[in-house]
Amino acid sequence: MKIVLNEWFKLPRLGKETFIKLMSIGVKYDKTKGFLVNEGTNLLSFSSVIKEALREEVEFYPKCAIDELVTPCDICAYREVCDRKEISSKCLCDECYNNRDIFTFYTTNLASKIE
Amino acid sequence: MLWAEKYRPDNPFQLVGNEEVRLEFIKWLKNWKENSKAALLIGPPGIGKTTLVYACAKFLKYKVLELNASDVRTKGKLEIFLKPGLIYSNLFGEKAFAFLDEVDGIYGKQDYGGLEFLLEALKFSKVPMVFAANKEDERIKKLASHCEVFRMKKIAPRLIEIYLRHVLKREGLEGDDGLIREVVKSCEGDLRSALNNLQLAMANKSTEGLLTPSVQFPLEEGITKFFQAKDIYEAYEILSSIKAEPMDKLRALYNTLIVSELPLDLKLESLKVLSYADELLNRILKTQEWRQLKYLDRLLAFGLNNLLKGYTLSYREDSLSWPLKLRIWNDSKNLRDLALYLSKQFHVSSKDFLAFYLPLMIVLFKKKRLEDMFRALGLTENMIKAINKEAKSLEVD
Ligand SMILES: Nc1ncnc2c1ncn2[C@@H]1O[C@H](COP(=O)(O)OP(=O)(O)OP(=O)(O)O)[C@@H](O)[C@H]1O
Ligand SMILES: [Mg+2]
Repeated sequence: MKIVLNEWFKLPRLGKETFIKLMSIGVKYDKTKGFLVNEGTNLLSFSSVIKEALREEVEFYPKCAIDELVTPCDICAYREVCDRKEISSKCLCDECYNNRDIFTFYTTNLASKIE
Repeated sequence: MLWAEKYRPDNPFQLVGNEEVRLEFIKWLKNWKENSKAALLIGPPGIGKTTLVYACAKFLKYKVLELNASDVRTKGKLEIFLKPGLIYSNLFGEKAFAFLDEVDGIYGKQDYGGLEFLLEALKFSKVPMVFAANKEDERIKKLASHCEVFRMKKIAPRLIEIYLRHVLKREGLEGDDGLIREVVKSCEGDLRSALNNLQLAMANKSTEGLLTPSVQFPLEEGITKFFQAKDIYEAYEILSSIKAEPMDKLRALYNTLIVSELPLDLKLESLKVLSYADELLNRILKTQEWRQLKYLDRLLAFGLNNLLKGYTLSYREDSLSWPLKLRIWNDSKNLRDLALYLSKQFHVSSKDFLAFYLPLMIVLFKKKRLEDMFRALGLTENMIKAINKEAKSLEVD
């Protein structure tokens, strides 16, 4: 199962117990939008809860910290060393990553988010 | 200078990774009012917890009241810090928050009432309180239940890479793509480790011998590797990756040096370095400022690696010196007199003499290198007798 971090997704019907477990590890829920996994979620626990309930492995895909595009983890040079369950939830998409001034973009982008 | 220190960001937006958490932490500090919760930052090593706290202080113009373990051991001391009164009122209207870094380390060492005081302090503090920790054991969990918890995670490899490139640019260096990639791969999301490895790799023009942060050496292997290190950075990395208490590390270095085949003058010089380190360690133990432990490894690495260029030593444990050191400190008056006299002759402090020179003399005695000793030290018959006696008595120990 592919899950994009910081993006709402649907899950098949889960038992009440599983649902409570998900809430306790920081998964967000909205009746119409579904579930959301973000920076505050314990991704290790999330994977194991899903594995137990649905017998499925979860793969997480971070979004780009700048333009919110999904990061192409499958073709990333770091894919074997990157444990996506343990890193913070944003990365860089190819275009941003290859930009020569990326560090400046990255820092000013975040600074602009504080009022 | 270590790049990890030189390029410590002083603005919260210059860090990489954990974007949401950084924004949330800034918000927490901005909105803090009396009776708001304290903040607890939890996350693995080398990802910017300490850096973020100081950077935010600077950004929002807060003064940081740095607390250490000894401050939190007694309620009285804490009150001085955190209640309107002495220190707090001397801030003259400046904003301030209290910061207790590596709080898990403090409580890991020994169990005293500190946590209770802290929890109480949370109630009476007139300033925001910030804690940082790596691990979440039972005590930290208890603390966490009274705090707003900010969980920070490892840094994504691509973000580490752009940070490394940024540092290289500021150093005016051209980094080879392959080298940078290897460094990023070796660091396991730990940016401090990445910067240390980058500095090492750039100095060696090679990624050979990079250390992953999870590599930890047993004492024996670590000490031997330490003496084989190519440069001070590698020496430092290795020393800080040794899985042993600082006192045991120091002791192992000491034993290895004392029985080594180094020329006498070098041996004495290196023992001097240990003497400084020993002093620093004693101060740390007294003040409980565990953060300073980083400087201990640095001092040892820089001091010894420079001094012993071209020599390879390996770990040895057959010296009698440590029990002797204790004996000297505890009882022997004759030896003290001797030390007082000899230390004047050799222009060292008598404490240095007792701690380092005398054991050396005795070990040389044991090795039947009396002639060397005479020549090096020019002792009188009486003094030699005294040492001889001590050496004999130690053989039965
Ligand atoms: N997210 C980051 N962005 C930029 N530099 C960083 C970051 N994290 C760490 N560094 C670099 O690594 C050094 C160590 O970081 P810091 O002391 O903040 O780590 P920490 O998370 O407090 O680690 P520890 O748990 O060991 O105390 C800093 O001086 C800085 O140079
Ligand atoms: Mg720290």
